[in-house]
Amino acid sequence: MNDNYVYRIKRVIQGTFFILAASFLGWGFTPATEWFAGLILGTFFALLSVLFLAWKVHRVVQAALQYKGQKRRVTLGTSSRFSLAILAAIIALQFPDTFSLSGMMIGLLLPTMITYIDAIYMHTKMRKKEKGVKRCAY
Amino acid sequence: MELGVLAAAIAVGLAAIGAGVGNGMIVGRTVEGVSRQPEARGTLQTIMFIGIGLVEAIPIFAVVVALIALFG
Repeated sequence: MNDNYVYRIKRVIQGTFFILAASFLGWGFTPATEWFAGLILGTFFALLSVLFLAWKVHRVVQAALQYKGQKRRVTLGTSSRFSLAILAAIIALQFPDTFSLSGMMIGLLLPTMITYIDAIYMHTKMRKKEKGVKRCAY
Repeated sequence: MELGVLAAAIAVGLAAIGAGVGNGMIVGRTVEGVSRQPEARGTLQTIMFIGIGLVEAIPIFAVVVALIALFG
């Protein structure tokens, strides 16, 4: 896999694990245990889904390079990721006393938000670096 | 119950249309770009990952909302 791609995915996983650790602390030390349990459930399934997406994107790009000009069927695994979200929702609906639905829904969106925020952060960082290089050159 | 089924169907259906069109555009352009310029693979792959993540967040949310409308 490409170094930049692996680095980005590692950053997303790192951020998600950070949120998961904070959620476990909230679950253990605050009275809102159901909400944090739902958040942990949603974040865990969303993390699985992000890892699966990263692997599938790598496979699609690899297939585009490897089988140039040939017909090749590669899927993005959308149905599998939807199934993961459905599984999380069914668990939260089955045990409403243990897992909060709102927490689970927020947890499902967290890794995506982390990816987006990280992309903006990296972009601004690169821009600043490029500007610095240009200033040094002139 | 009947209205719940209708709500679920509309939510999932509209979200699936959006995700289908969006994913198709992202993947199509990325594959085109990678085959034209294989050395830009890393950047394009990263952009595709971020794009698909963003596009599919809404349908996933819609599926959960539909499930809540059905069984909640």
